This record gives sequence, structure tokens and C-alpha cells, in this order.
Amino acid sequence: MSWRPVFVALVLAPLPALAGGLEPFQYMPVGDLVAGSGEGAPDPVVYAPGMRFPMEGAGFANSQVWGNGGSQGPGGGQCDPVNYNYPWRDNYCETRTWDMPLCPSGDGHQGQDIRPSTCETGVHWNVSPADATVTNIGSYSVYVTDAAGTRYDILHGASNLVSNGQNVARGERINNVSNEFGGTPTTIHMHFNIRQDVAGLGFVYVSPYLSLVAAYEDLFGLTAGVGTLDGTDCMAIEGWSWDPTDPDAATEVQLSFGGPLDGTTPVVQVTADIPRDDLCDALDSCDHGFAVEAPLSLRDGQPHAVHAYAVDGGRSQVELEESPIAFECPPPPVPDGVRRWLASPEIVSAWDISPLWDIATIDQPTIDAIGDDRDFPVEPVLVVSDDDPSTYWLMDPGYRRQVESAAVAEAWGLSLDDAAVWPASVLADVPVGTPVRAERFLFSGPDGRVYAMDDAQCALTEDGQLDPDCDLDEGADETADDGGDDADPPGTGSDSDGAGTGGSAGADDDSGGCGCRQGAPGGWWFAGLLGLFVIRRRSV
Amino acid sequence: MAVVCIACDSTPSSAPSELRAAAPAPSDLEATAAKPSRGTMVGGQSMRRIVAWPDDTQRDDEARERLSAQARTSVDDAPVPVLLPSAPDLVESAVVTSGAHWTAVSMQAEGLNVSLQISGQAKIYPHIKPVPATHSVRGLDGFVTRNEGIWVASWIEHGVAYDLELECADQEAAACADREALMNFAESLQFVGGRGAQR
Repeated sequence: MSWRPVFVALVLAPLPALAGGLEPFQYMPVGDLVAGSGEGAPDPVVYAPGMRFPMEGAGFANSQVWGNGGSQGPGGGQCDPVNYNYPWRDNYCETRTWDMPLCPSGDGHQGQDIRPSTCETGVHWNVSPADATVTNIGSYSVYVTDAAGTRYDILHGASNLVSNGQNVARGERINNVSNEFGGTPTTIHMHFNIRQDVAGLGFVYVSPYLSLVAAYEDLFGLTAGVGTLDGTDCMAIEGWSWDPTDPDAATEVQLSFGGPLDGTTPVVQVTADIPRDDLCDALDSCDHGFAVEAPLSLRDGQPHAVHAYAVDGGRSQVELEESPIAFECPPPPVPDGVRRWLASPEIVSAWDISPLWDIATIDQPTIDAIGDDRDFPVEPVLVVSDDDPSTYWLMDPGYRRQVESAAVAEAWGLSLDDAAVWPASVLADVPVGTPVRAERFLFSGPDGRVYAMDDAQCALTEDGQLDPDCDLDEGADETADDGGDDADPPGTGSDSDGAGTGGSAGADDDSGGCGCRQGAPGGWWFAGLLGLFVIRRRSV
Repeated sequence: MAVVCIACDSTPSSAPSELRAAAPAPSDLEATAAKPSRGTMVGGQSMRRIVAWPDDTQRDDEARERLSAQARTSVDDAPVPVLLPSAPDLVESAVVTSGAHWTAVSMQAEGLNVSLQISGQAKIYPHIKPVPATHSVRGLDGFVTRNEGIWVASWIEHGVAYDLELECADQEAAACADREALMNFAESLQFVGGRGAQR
């Protein structure tokens, strides 16, 4: 993907002593490394919203190796004033030989180097970025982990004030900024990492740069705007936000669900640019409203708090008036069908599913009453045959299932442009299952397991073909007999109310009723895998 | 005080909210003049990993017994399967801490510091897709790197994410000499317990 960072110049509240004569705070864009020091990651994500800047006072984020006094630098010494001045400069992914999956080159520097306000060791303090637990202390490292599991690494410090297992408050002193490095010389600085468990990777170092920018602005009391969180119903969470220093500009608003911004809650950012008549007279500017959908995962009949913050271009936050408020919405209707487990966050990520927006929260008895079926495919595989490029099939291990329209593909996050082309002879050997449902319905319960509601499929014989006794019509009849008043076949999911109906046929797993056509005999799945060798991207 | 980003004149690459597919909407939702937005996620979304607990027969009772009483209690209450090395001096020094969905173990002996972090809750970021593993760790897909001299291995086992780090007070020490030392150390880890373990 292409990365395009966003920043604007802001006029903010005066900074007391800390910044001294160094105003204004300036920073280079994320991913913009010192020339010749490697390829940065222009990653616009703030991975630790609400984090505190991890030094007690001012700091200067920049490269040690490529800065003055560094082995690859332009000369001078580490205490050269140019190192102790703005702008900040990203050095995540700076050239190193070590694997870094999130760096463009696949390797690089794992974190951000930050110098303290002056070139002195043992004087300045590293502090905890969050309410956290000290989870490891090495000879030159201290790790603290917050409640959500995000780990913050503070390296090269000395004179630790904390011990393993100790709880520390956000901003609590950890140790002095120093140059400890296991007997290896280094400059006076903190090396700062953010390490998270990320779906698709496991533990990985994520870019800390914009989290540091946001934290720095927040530390120095920058103001972002004013506004009000007006209220909410089950349609939208509404309010307005306005920056008096730039009255006609649209501001950004962040909503934190379930608690204040502390790195442990889901956070959504929207632009407050909706016209509102009531603002025109009061502000002499109208386009400052916002309306955010109530998340599906929080429509569970329970009250949920939402906090709202005005956010400036650099991501500092000011909580809006009347924030927080609570909303309580009934759960959505649960369509018929069988449940299929998405067994890991990796699978949820591969299907482009948002836990906040796309997964309903359902009570356990309701889940237990739904027939259990095969695990959900680990990733979407969309194919067409080389003799029929207009019919799209979702490969569901054991079956191929037609994606009947672009709308269905969109509902499931499938890109028709990315469909692979399989030889018709290979595809023909794959038994045909029910069509992919028109709408996806995902749900989770108290145990955290995520399921997709789906249609049961005909059982397969030992040679991978459909059970010859399987009968679509019989299943459809059973649906009607069960009182269904929907004339659509099971699994077509053509209901307009969004609840869906499909899949009552075979909901008790081996009932035999299903929507299937017999394919030609043979080891189709193995052949299908062979077919992958001839996959090519299809352009539309 | 002003905040200025140098040469920042572009806009975010995030897809506008109106381009996202609509969620299944409850029937009580009606169109409004201004359609509610989903905005963009900040800081990712959390999702629990489902633990595949090892059975009791795999538990290394010898290592477990070497833990201090406090550490043993912490291991037994851990929300994720805890792995430990066999080296007695390391195990005896173990400090075990846990959150709701994670556990960390810190151990020290003779200039070697060992950190184990175990996570039962992943962050999901739409822009981060699965990346092929670069190494085999304990026979599983994983990643190996070195952060400021600290050897780091990560992998997924028992349904949860593991992070193992070796830090030496002297970077030239044998325990931190090369990748092989890390891989051998990872291989030596044994399951010692957790709250879901069968007993």
C-alpha cells in the first residue's frame, strides 16, 4: 500500500520552561529517515494511542548512528547542539542487518532513538509510558507491559528505580537516561520500542514514531479544539468539535469505547465536518458535526461508555464537553444457519474482518444452540475458471461456492480483481456447495471465539465427492415446512432486513438437506492445489 | 508553542469511511441525513487468541518444582501456557507476572537475562497482513531478530504468541554469541503450567 502521512502546522498553547528556546516543536514525517540511512516505514498508525512520552522532560528523537558523533554521521560529537534540537526524525527501520517484518526492506532498526534535553548521563529520567507492570529488567533494558499487553522497551538506562513485577503508574520514573549497552559504547539516549502481538505476525516491533509525536504534544498541553459529545442512540454517536484558532477548518475527533484513551480501548477517528444549523450562529461556521455508527460488537444490550476527544493534526487530544456518555443497544437478530469457527486472529485478519464493526456479541446459550460445523477457511481463495471468467467461486475446502454478485463479494471483503484463474477441468472436479451468503454475519460470545454463520453443506464421500443422497430441494422444502416464509433457496441470503435466513437446511449438520450439485469424481482438492501453479492475477 | 511537521503536506492514505462495506445493520437503523461514519481505527483492535492447552502429560514437573512458591502460584494462574527452560539457576530466579490475557517471565543468572512474553490477545490492523515466517523456531513458523544486542525469537504455539529474548551483560558472552544459542535455548523450553492446564 502507499503511505501518505498527514500533518498540519498548528498554533498551540505556550509551552512552559521545558521547551525553553527550542520552540516550535518540529518533526519530520514518519518514515523520513536521514538520507542514506535506509528506507523508512511511512506508517501512519499510532500504535499506542494515549501513551505518555517516555522521558520526564523534553527529548529529541533522531538517529544516533547517522547523527553528529555517530559512526555514519557527518562528524562532530554526540553533544553537538544540532543533535539537541528539533525537528525530530524517525529512525525506525534505519539500516541494520536484523529481520524486521514491518520494515520495507525486511530488516532494520526496531525502535526510535531519543536523546534527553541535554547531553548528560544520569541526570534525566525515563518514565513509564503507561500504567503498567515491569515485566523484565536486563542489564541495559527495562520492559513494562500495559493491561492490553503492549510492551514498551526502555533501553540504555541506568540506576533503575523499579523492580521486576512492580506496578508502575503512567509517568512514574523508571531510571536515568544513560549510555549503558552491555559493554559496548553508545551515545546518551533512550532506545524506545513498542512491541505488540499483531495478527499475522505474532510479537513484532511496530513503529513508535507517531505514538511518540502524539505523546509529546499531549505532554506539553497542546490544545486541539473544543466541542461537545451530544449524545447517542443506536443509530449514531453524535457531537461537534471546532478549533477556535482555525475556525473554518474541520477538526478530527477520536472516540474511545469502553474507557478513556489509555491504549487498552478501541479508538475510532472521524472528521467533524457535517453541516449543523445549530452551529452556524454560535460559531459562525457550520460544518463541524460528527456522527459515528454504534459499533456492532457493542450492541449487546449492555451499557457502554464512549469518550470523545478533539484531536489536532499531530494527534494531541482534548476531551469534549459531556464526555463520556453511555449507550445501550439491543443485539442484532441472529440469522439461521450453522456456526463455523474462525480459529485465530490471523484468520480474522486474512478475511479483513473488524472485531469492532463486524462481529456481533451474543450470549453463550444462543451460540450453543446453533449447530457447530467445520472451521472457517483460513483465508479467502476466490477463483474463476479459464473457460468462464465471469463466474466467481469461493473455495471452501471440500467445496466451491458461487459468489453471485459484486455486492456479495463486497459483503465478504472479496476483491473480484484478485480472483485466480484455475483450469476449468480442475475446477469442475470440485463439488459445488451452496452459494456464498449475500451478507456475512459474524458473532462472538463470552469465550472470545469468533464464528461465521453459514449454510451446512452436503457431506462428502471418501473420494471427496458429494453424498449422492444429498438433495437441495428436500432441504428447501424442509425450510418451508419449518415455517419459513422466505421463498429464496437456503443460503442465498437475499433478505432485505439484513438478518438473513439461509441455511436452515442442514442446520443439524448431517440432515441431508443442502444446496449442492455433484461434481465429477476425482481428487479435486489435490488437483486444485496443482491448479495453483497456474494461478495468475486476473485483470478486469 | 507551535507544532510543525516539516514537509508534511499530504493527506492520509486511509480509505474514507464511506468506502467501507456496510456492516449488517439492525432493522432499527434508518438512513439519516448524514450517514454515521465508521471513521478509521486508531491503535488497532484486540482479539483474543484461543488457547490450545497442552495436556498434563507434557508438563515438566521438575522445572515447575524449581520455581519459587510465588512464581509457581503465578504460573498456575497464568492465562496462557507458560514455557520455561530447564536450567535450574534461571528457573529459580523466575519472576512471573500476568495481565488478563498475557504472562511474562523474567529470569537472570550469571550475566544472562531471559525474558519470555506470552500473549493471548492479538492486535488486528487492517493494513498489516500475514507475513511469511523467516525462521523455524521450535519447529514452528517464527521470526528471529536482534534488538540492540538482544537476541529475540517469536513464534505461535498452543494458539498463543511467544516472545523469547536473551540479553547478556557482556554482549560477547557465549549465550549471546549467535543465533544458534537462541534457537537452542528456545528448543529447550518446556511447558510448566497455566490456569487451563489439566491436572
